[in-house]
Amino acid sequence: MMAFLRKQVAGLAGEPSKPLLAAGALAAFLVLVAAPRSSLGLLFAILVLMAATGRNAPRKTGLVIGALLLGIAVPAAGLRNSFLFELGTQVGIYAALALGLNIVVGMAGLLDLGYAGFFAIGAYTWAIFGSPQANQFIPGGHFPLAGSPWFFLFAGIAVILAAIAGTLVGLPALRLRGDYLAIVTLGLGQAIRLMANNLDHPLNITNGPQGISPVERPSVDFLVAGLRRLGVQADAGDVYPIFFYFIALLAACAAAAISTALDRSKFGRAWVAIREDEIAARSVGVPVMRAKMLAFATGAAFSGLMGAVFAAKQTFVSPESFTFLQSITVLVMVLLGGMGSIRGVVFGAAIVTVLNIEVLKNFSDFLSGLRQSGQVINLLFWQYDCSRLPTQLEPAKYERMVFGLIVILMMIFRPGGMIPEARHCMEMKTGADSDGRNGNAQR
Amino acid sequence: MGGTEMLSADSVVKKFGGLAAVDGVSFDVCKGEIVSIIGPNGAGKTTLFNVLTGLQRADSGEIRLEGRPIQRLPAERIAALGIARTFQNIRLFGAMTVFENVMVGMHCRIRYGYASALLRGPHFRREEASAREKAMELLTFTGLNDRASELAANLPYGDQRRLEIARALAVGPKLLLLDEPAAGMNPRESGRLSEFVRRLRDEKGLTILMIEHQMNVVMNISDRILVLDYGRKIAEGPPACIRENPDVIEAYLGSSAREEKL
Repeated sequence: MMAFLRKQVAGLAGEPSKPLLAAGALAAFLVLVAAPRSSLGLLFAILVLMAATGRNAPRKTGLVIGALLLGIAVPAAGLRNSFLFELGTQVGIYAALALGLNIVVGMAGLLDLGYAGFFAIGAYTWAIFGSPQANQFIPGGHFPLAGSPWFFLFAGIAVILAAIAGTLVGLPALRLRGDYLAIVTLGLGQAIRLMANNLDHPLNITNGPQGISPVERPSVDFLVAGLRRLGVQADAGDVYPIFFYFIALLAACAAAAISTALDRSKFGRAWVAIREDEIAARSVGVPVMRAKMLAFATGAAFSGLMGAVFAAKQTFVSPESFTFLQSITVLVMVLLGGMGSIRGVVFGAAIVTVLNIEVLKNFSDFLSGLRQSGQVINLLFWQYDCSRLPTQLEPAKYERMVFGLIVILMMIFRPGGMIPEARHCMEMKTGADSDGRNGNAQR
Repeated sequence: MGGTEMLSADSVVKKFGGLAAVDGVSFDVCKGEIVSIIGPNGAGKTTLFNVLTGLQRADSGEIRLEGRPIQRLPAERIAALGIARTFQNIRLFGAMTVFENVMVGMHCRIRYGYASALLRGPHFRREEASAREKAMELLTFTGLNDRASELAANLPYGDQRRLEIARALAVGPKLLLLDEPAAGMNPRESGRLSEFVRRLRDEKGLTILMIEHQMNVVMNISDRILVLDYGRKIAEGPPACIRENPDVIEAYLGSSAREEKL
């Protein structure tokens, strides 16, 4: 197993062969089915997907393996362990967030420490109108706006609002460079959170620190009815985890597709050029201000969309969810995965999410279990009463340190990230596109 | 001289605090000329380039490109209008491939919007394909076609210099500013460079303004030479005159060296 894993990891860098990929996919599937209780299967599936979408892997293979693993194998395992849906949904949301931040930080090289602010804008956009909250300032009792069309409409509005907010924040902030930009975005991100915190008077818009609850979820009646027709009895409560898993998966796929499309256009090239050398970029005619603004708005739009999804999934939104730590968490995903590398960032999101809501939480449960057991450990002359375990061991107390360590270690040992950015090699073989899509255009 | 005016600078001043790096410099460059700017270190040559390309704003004076005032325009506008440049201390996009570096140079010539970049329709693919074709042409012209997929940072020094020129050509300039293109080259290489600069003018129809220290290159290819010292123009003329000019010799070598020739 270990040897196989090692081969898979090697495949990330080199050229994975089709049989190897198929074997990997099968293994991931088996892990998912055999051990649905463990989140290892999900990580393994994503690892195989990373190998299958590599630079040298055939494009179709990657798509097929991805669809089979994430579209069928994970949901199949999730039916036996619904926590897998929760985990998968979180990974999907964070992957899309990280992909958005990757455009700003990874491609354009603009350190944005206020990214959670745009997430908040998206979340509140749906939370306010998808709950009775809006009745507080719009008379008539029209709210909440229930039902799927409203949710998807407001998800779209969230995208637009976040993009506008990104542009507005960008206007003053992008005149600054490097550390100064980081400080200003940090401040503006906090300002958005504080607005959410304090906009409960004179007009109660955000309901302040108590947050908004309950937020409507898009209706899944059609799914329930569909399942019933197939002879499966399920109520909405059973269906929601699957529903949100697929929504998050879809959003992450869309984010990856958009990132890839932009990366392979003049906009992506302009962003990377600005990151590499802003002065040179200006002097060859790249409108640097406009390009930066576009990066900011695009990243913010991803964040806004995921905010709306997050609000609906949690059915509860409060300023607590949009702290500085949230911005840092997404940044760590980008740094860990590899700045500018789309596959890397998705991988980073998966690892950090699993670390965050699985590993650290399990460790915390383990500690409290140990504490309650009151076990006494005897080591020759030294005795330790587990009920006196200091609370400082709780991961919540040093979560930031864990992330800080990840960033420091990555910067020292692998500054390019786990899957470093590989500037695409296929475009340049000839004037015509070598991946074959351009042949159609010329005909 | 003669011919139509490409670039004209009129009493351009650029100050850094109390120091006037460029102190009232005026000159013209005509279409199809190769003009060199020489002068001792710190004479303000590169600052003049930065002002001409809009990277730094002139404190006073006027700069016109084909009669159009450009001194207030941002660098990217000036580039789009037709002035491209290379840098003394090479500034490539190191993490991008050779090919992509040239593609970035074509940014303002590629005509599609954000939406079509997402949808990748026929218009998008046509524009990208023709840009690719042009980029490959430029790489062939500069002899870098074999290295198209290498990262710019991994190129040997001479190729990096050539790539900078290829990238500048991708902007589609009328006027090309070269900042010490022969720096660090041995006589054979700089001979080839002279040849190449001449080809740029003859085959690409460019006007060239060049800062250079290697006198064999300067004397070999310049139609005219402009000499700066302490931010001022101290001489201007064809190579033969500059070679004999006592002020130039003094600025370069000090007054006691007046007997020696450049």
